[in-house]
Amino acid sequence: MTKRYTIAVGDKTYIIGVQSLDASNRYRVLVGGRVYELKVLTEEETEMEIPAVEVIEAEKEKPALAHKPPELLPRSRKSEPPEMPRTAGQSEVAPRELHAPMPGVIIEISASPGARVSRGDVLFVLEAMKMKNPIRSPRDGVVEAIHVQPGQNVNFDDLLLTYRDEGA
Amino acid sequence: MDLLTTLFAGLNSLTWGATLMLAIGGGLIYLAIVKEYEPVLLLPIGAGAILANLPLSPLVGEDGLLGILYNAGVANELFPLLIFVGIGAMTDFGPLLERPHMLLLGAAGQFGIFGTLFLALLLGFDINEAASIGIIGAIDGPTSIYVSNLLAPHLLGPIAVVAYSYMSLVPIIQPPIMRALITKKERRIRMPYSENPVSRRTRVLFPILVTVVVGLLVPMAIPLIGMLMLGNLMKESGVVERLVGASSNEIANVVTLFLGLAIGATMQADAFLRKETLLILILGIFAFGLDTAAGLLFAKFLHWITRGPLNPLIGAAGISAFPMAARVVQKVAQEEDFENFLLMHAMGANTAGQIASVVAGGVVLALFAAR
Repeated sequence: MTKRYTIAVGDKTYIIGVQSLDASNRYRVLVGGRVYELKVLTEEETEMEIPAVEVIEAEKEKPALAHKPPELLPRSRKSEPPEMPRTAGQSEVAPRELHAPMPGVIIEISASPGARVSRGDVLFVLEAMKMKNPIRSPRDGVVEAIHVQPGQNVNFDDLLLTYRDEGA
Repeated sequence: MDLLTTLFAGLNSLTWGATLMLAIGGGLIYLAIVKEYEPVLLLPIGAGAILANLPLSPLVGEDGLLGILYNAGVANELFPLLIFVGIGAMTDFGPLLERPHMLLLGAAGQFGIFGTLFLALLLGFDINEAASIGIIGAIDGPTSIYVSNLLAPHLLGPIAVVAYSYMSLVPIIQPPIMRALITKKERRIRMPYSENPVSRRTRVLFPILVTVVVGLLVPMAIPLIGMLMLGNLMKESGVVERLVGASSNEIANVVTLFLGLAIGATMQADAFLRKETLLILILGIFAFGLDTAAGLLFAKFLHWITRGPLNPLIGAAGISAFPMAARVVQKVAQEEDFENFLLMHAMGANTAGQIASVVAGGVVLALFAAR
């Protein structure tokens, strides 16, 4: 029997598959394109509090699927992981600064201080080797300051923009 | 009655072939103006084709403007070589000098030339024709013109038209091949930007060194590589701004106009309207696809043996079409991950492809021109 959870963390959604295997307390779990087999050793109630960071709403499972959906079967090494939304950036901590990915000229600035931006929004257009490259926001957040002017030459890793620190 | 015949001599001499060629010339002009496919070359070629196919055109022949241009600069290879000076003066080899290993990818991007050569042989072209057709795969217009004019001058028109048409189709032809051969996961490989500033001395010595080394190894490539590197030496020297400006603007523009007209004029009905032209069109795209695939697969192989951060997509930039191929790599990579910037790496592979295609042209000439 397989359960499929669609969960929301912040405004992103993820799909997690949990398949209970024949023996008791053994499960096969699909998270982020990877399959884990795990065994629940103990299950007890505790007073420990998990600090509240963000609300996790678990959309209740869909009616149990009659057949095991193929994506929950052990995957051969060659096949690609299913499409999963990626977390912001590559690190778990959202970066506070945005740097130039390569040298070029900033020809357009589409963001302004105080603006709320989402991951994927175009913030700058950087012309490099005569090609216009959109520089998109790697995270959701509020722009604190922009550190370049239109027409400015930038080198690799120059600071372009800082986000407002919302966690503090 | 005789008067009428004389007055309408042009109309009376119009053949079906010439009419069709006028339409083809119009088609090229359409592609240039409406689709903006390499307009700088395709527009003069289209115009040349129309001017040369109008019956009794005084422009063709030894004393006509088109004939003079052809003899002055195409038959003796002057025009494509002058264009190479301009290309050299416009090319920044910096991205390659910062990542010299990209030369490997440039070399890999030339395999298709030889694959297509064999296929063309099988289809009944003779060895010189086959070699000229294979060169289309490098997607390097001036090299294609240079090589085919030496090896198979009667195919110059179709080869030039096909080479320049496909050059403009790089953004359409390459992405499907890239998506087919490189997995999504590989396309997402990020390549960190590495900054190794290259000294001015290196930049100045590079063109000299390449000319001498390539010249010693492949003497037939000396005209092409020598002119390309002359332009680059002038640019990097920083002391002959005027010559650099003239080479990359005035000379390159004037020569492009002359070259386009003269090549258009070779598109005479009896020479162009043959099944060979159609075959060249098909073999050309095959050569292009094979070069792209070879570059991609070789990059994939490099990634596999080094296990390093090498996105196999940049293999597609190992062809000559500069800078379109590098831009296409950047675009396809960003479809998967907008935080991935491969452009400078791809530019390195792309300039390597430029050098390699010139060398490949020389190799082909060395192998076949002596025959």
